[in-house]
Formats: sequence, C-alpha cells, structure tokens
Amino acid sequence: MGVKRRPVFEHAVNPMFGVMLELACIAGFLGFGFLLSILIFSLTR
Amino acid sequence: MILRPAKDDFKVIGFYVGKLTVALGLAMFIPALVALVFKEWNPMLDFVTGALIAIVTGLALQIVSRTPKDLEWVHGLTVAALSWLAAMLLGAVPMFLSGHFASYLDASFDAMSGFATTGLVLIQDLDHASHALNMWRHLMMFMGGQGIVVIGLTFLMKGTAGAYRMYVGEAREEKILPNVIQTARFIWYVSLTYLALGTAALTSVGILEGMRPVRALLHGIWIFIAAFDTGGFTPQSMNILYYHSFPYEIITTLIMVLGTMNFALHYALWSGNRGEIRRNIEVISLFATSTAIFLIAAFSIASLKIYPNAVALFRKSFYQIISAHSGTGYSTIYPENFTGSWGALAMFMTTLAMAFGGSVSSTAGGIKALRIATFFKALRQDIKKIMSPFSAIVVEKFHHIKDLVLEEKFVRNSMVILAAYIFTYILGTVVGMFFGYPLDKALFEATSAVANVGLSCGITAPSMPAAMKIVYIALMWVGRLEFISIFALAGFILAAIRGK
Repeated sequence: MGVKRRPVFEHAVNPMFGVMLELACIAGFLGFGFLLSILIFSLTR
Repeated sequence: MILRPAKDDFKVIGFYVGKLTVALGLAMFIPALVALVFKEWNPMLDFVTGALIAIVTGLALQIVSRTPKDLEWVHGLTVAALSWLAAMLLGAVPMFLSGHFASYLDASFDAMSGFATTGLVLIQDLDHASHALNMWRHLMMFMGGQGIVVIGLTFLMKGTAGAYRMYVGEAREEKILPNVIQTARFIWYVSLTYLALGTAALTSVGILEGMRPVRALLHGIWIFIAAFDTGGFTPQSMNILYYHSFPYEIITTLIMVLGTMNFALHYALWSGNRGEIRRNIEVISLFATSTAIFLIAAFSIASLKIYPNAVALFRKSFYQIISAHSGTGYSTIYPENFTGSWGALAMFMTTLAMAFGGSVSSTAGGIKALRIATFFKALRQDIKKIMSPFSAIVVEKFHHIKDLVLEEKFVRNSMVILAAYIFTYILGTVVGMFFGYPLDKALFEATSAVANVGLSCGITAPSMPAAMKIVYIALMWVGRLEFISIFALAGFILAAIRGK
C-alpha cells in the first residue's frame, strides 16, 4: 500500500482550465482594443 | 530612543545575503553552459569568473556571519534590500568582462535594470552580443521577476517566519497560499507552464517568419522571459520592431498581460474560480485605466494622421500602451517617435500608463491597480460620508480574491505607497531637468525607471551623465522593492550610526 501524498497546493489546480480561461479573456481584450482602433481611425478620418 | 543593532543583527543579515549571493553565483553556470554549447569560449570564462567571485563572496559572508538567530522583520526587509544591491554588483561582473559596456557603472546599470525587470539599457553593440550574455541578461530578468528571495525560498531555505519577512521585503505582500514556500512554488508552477507554452508559440512564429530553428528557439525563450516578467530586454537593439511580425506582437501582448496579473488571481482561476475575472477589483481597475488611456492616446495619435490604417494604429498605439501599463517596456516604435511623432498628449498618456503599472504580487512595477482602485473607493466613501447624516456609518466593500471591507489601515498603507511613488517620479524628473532635459522627456524617462517599465524616449544612453546613471539605478531599485524594505534599510543604518 502506498502512502497517500499530501496535495502540493491547498486547492486542486487545473492548469489546462486556467490557461484556456486566461488566454481567452486576454484575447477578448485584444479584440476589444482592435475594434476601438477601427472606430477611432474611422472617426478621425 | 533608537536601539543600536547588536553584532548578531549584522550577522543574521550577512548570513542570508551570503546565501542568496551563492544562489546568484550558481545561476551564472547556466549562461556558462550556453557558452559551452555554442563554443563561445571567452564568454564562458567571463561567466565562470563571475560565478566563482559570487560563490566565494557568498560563502565567506556565511562563514563570517554564522549565527543561530532567526530573521526578525527589520532583518528580513534589510536582507531583501541588500540582496538586490549585491545581485547588481556581482551580476555585473560577467557583463563588464564581455566588453559590451563602456564602464563597470554601465554594466551595473544594466544589471539593476535586469533584476528590477525594467529594460532600460546602456549595452553597446547588442546585436553582436554572445548567446551566453543574452541568456544572462534575460535570466536576470527571470530571477528578478520571480524574485531573488522567492528563488532562495524555493531552493535553499526552510519555511521559517524569517523567510516570509524577506518575501514581504521583495514587494510581495500577498501570501497566495498559507505557506510561503507553497506560494513560491505556485509562482514557479505558473511561470514554467507559461514558459513552455510561450516559448513554443514564439519559436513557431520565428521559424515561420524565416529564422533558423535554434535562433528562433533562443529568441523565443528570451522574449518570453522578458515579456512574462514584464522586463523588456530583447536580444536585438531595435526591440520588438526588429521582428516586423504581427503574430509576434500579438503573442508578446498576451504574455505581457499574463505577466501583469496578480499570482493570487492566477491561483483563483487555475483552481476553477472563473467568476474572479469579472469581480476582481484589480482586473476592473486595469481594464478601466488601460481602456481610458488608450482611447485618449489613440484619438490624439489618429488625429495626427501618422498611421495609414486602423491596423497600423492598433499595432503601434495599443501595443505601446499595453507595454507601458503592464510595465514591460517592449516597443514597436523608435524611442524618438514618442517625442517626434506621437505628440505631447499621447506621450503623457503613455507616461501615465507607466506610472499606474500592473497588479500587486505580479512582476509589474508602478503604483499598481489595487492602489489606484483603493484611491477611488476611498474617495467614493468620503463623498458618501459627506452626503450621509452625521451619525451614519458608511461601509465601502470590494472584491479581491474574497469580499473585503475597505479599512482605514488598508487605505493608509496604499496611500503611503502611492504618495511615495509620486514623490519618486517627481524626484527623478527634477534630476533629469537638472541635467538639462526638457520636462516631458525627463518625466517620461524617470517614470519608466521608477515603475520598472523600460520604454525610453532617448535619454538613457551610454553618453548620459554618470550621476544620472546612479540616480536611475537607485530609482529602479526603490521602485522594484516598493520602498518598505528601503525604509527598513535606511532605519537600520540610522540605528547603527545614532542608536544607543
């Protein structure tokens, strides 16, 4: 019988979920910036 | 009455500075190994020499200062402050030996810029620097961004209370996990996961853009490190403009934003708490200030009609603003463009983005989003108090990992640091103006140094006065450690001189 290992962190950490969520949010922010750029460029022409 | 520190107080500080110095020396074997792989014999000798000097100095300090005493608050903070100075002086040795610096002061400037994750450089002929030297420059950013103390905590020390006191001294007041060693390990876990992903993405783009695979890989590693640790060093003198690649710019923007996120936020998201991204006060603050700054700057730039289309406007203005706000300092324009093409308003908005900075407990510098939000929350609370009956109790709440009530003590601490940053920005600007630079340029460069950003409008150059180099080194050091450990060091020195 193996000894039960203590978890490394307090809560279970899911890097795959965390990475996908973070990248999706930042990509959304970049998209928002791009749309603002188009809007500003159109307004100043 | 101030008490003069005892002999043991000096010993305990010397002992831990010695430990961290040995860690620094061991880290120099990484660039030495790179030199060996690429047959760069002279750089290899530079790094072996640097490593031996650091290890011998560290071991000597430990032997001379051996003591059973554990770190108290003032010791931990003083160790943090002194370790960064020791790292600068010893980290500069192989850089100076490389022949790419006009003086030891210039090498020390770049070493502090690296460790403080600033990105201002005095290196000469960067485009012909060895792989080993570039590895060391970016490794310094990695060590500085992760925190020299965090590295020490992870590999060299047990989880003592003293360890936490050094950790706080390095401007990381939040313990993400109850145990400080676990916190340090989580910081590494996130960083190494993104190191693998970011390097793979940048290497792939580099190869597709026509770089040879090994070169693309090295550039991928270095650019990732300096973006994630919000540093700003690059292996080419033209910075990110060198690559002329839209995908490279998109990936580095993603990495810069990741780097400016609080590690406590990473922990919340990685453990499945997806609602945190919407509710966290730092995320809201960062989104609000970066959007407002970008809107004003982009309107100003677009009205000057210097960019031919919306894509160019996005690639130039959005990139520089995010780079400034995240504290990275990567740029896709020439330093002279800030003063020559962007106009006063856009340049000032970039300065403001640098001054605000990223999140607390991230690798970013500046005032930080949490303190900006605290300022506005406290302002709103005061206005509510004025509008309410005299006997009414006005409670202001906010969400940062958990629901919190805005307390007087928290507001006071935040405002002290905020005021200290503003005072230091002004001080740096006055020094720049004293040496003959105009207000806008002096303010831009000083803010970049204090907030550890690294964007330059052209002041930082090997020909700048030596006194200004020393002042900028001090500004970068003070800005990275967020004052408290510097105050502790000053207090310790004062007590040693005037104490009884």
